[in-house]
This record gives sequence, C-alpha cells and structure tokens, in this order.
Amino acid sequence: MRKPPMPRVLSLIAAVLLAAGLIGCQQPNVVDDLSDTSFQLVDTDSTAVAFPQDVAGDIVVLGYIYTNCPDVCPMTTANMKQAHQQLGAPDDVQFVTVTFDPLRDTPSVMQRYSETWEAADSDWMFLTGDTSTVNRMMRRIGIRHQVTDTTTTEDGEQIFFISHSDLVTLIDEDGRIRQHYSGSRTPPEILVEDVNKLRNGSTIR
Amino acid sequence: MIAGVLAGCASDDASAPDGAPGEASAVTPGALTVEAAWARPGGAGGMSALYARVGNGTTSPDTLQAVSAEVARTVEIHESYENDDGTRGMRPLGPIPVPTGEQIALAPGGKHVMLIRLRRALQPNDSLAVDFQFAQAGTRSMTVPVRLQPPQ
Ligand SMILES: [Cu+2]
Repeated sequence: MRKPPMPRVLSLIAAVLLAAGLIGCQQPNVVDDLSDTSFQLVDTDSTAVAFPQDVAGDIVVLGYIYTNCPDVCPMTTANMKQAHQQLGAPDDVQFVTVTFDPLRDTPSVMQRYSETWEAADSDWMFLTGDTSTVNRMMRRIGIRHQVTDTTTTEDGEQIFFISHSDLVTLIDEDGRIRQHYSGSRTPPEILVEDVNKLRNGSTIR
Repeated sequence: MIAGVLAGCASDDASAPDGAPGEASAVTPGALTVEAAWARPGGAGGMSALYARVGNGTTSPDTLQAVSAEVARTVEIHESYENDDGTRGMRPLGPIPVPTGEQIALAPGGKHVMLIRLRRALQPNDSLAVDFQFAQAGTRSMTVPVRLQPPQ
C-alpha cells in the first residue's frame, strides 16, 4: 500500500502551505480536553445534566458565579448576556452558567437568577449540583473559590462571601477547553469573535 | 496554569470600574451631590449592590458614613478587590472620604453599597428608597431604580 512519491514540486508547495498553516490538520490550541470526564449537574428544573456530554456538538460559553455575589458576578453574566444577544441566540452555541456555591444556589435559586437576567432559554443553562461534584468540576477546570469574608447581620446571621476566579471559558464542539477569559472584564465582542473562529475551524490566537 | 492563557482582558480600559477616577469628574460648585444611583436585581433573602457617583463641590471635606435602605436587613459599604492569583472577592469598607472638589465613584467591580438579606425581591424597573448619610451634608434621601446594566 505504498503511495507513489509525490512529485518534488508538489511536495515543496505542500511544505510551504503547511508551514503557513494553510492546509493539513493544524493542531488547535487545547487548554484541557473535558470529553473524557463527566460532571453530573442539575438544571433549574432539577433535571440531570451530564457536563459536557449533554452539550457535545455545541460550542459552549461557560461562566461561573454565585448568586450572593451582586457586584463582580453580574458583570460576568452581563458580558455573557451581551455576547448571547450579539450571536442572536444561535442553535450551535450553548451558554452555561454554573454556581460554585451549590448549598445556597439550589435549582430554584438558579431559576430565579435566570429569570432576573431574562435568560431562561433552552440555549442558556443555569446549573448547580452536589458540593463534591461541583468542587471536582471547578478543580478540574481551574476555578478557585474560597470563603474569605464574612459579615454578621443585625439579627446575628452569618453571611459569607467567596473569593473566586473571575473567568469565562470557551469550549469547542468536542468538549475541549479552547480559551479562558476574564469573566468581568472581557468585552462581549471578543467572545463573539472567538465563537466565530471556532465555527470556522480557525485557531484562537 | 490559567494565567498564561487569559485573553481579552487588556483591550480598552475595562479593568477600571465604570465611572472611576480618570474621567473628567465635574462636581457642582457649592453642592454635595449623589447622582446616577442604581441597584442590581436580587432575590428575596438575597443580595443586591447599589452604585452612585458622589461629588463634593463644597469647600469642606465630607465623608459618606453609612447608607440605609428599608429593603435590606443589613446595608454595608463594600469594596471588591483582586488577589495576586487573580481571584476576586469583596469585603466591608469603612466610611468613604469625599474630599473637596472630588467625585467618588461607587461602581461595578469597585466600591459599592451591599444590600444584604433583601426583604423583597428587586427586579429590573423596580425602585427602592435609600438614604446616604454624610458627616457634613447630613442625609440625602432618594428613590433608586433597579437595573441590569449601568445607566449610560
Ligand atoms: Cu459587596
């Protein structure tokens, strides 16, 4: 099954094109491949979602929040919302917001959060889960979250605040993390641009 | 591990809180003003953040000592901060000085007023009554709109 040797001129052209990245399988820059793992989470109506299997085939824009974070986390959700609007709620992109505070952020709390953001759509999931699964997922992706500040209300209740990574993650159709972005500070246009690059099969940066 | 692949953070100066120092901050001569106040939505029992621009056009330095709002069981002046590893958190901050001729921005990602344990849900287009308490200027009462995004 030996192939005849390629004429020298053709192989030279191929080499040049390959070097220029114009043909051949250019290796995408993959940060982490999540397709070998599965995180059993739940949606706002408590239906099970296996992440990322259940969204495989779609490009995923993934954000991390806790709903008791009214300052920084809404900046992330607002950026995702604007990207979602600019993309025109497309079929091939799934937006996912997952909490790293599952004890307080129950499915019904996440439901309320999605309604507040007018994002309770089939193409935007708001996920929570049991603590160990959520912690495992955050550790795998590299999202840090730690209770650092507490406050006591006038009626003696302890409220805690979480220091956390400020990221949004772009995952390709094959469950591979392709890029992390600052969640609160990345202009939505950049997310949209990179979603379009994934659609075209071009590399991101 | 992640820091090396961060992208998109450096374009425009989105790292500064909206309306942060650097903008031409016009104070109103002779007046202490609280402008463009707005609050985030939040669920009943949950949290919200409140923002405003405070300008001191008077000849005496002032201090924002506290903020109160009937909608929340507890109200604190807060600031968001960033750790060396890029994680972000927030913590209580004491009274905020408002020097003569300066404008202080309470803005997303920076100083803000935390509305803790909301007595009722705040939805976009709702409004809430808020009192800003200043050491010199006394109490400024106002009705503040609830918004998803900063006013333009
Ligand atoms: Cu706060």
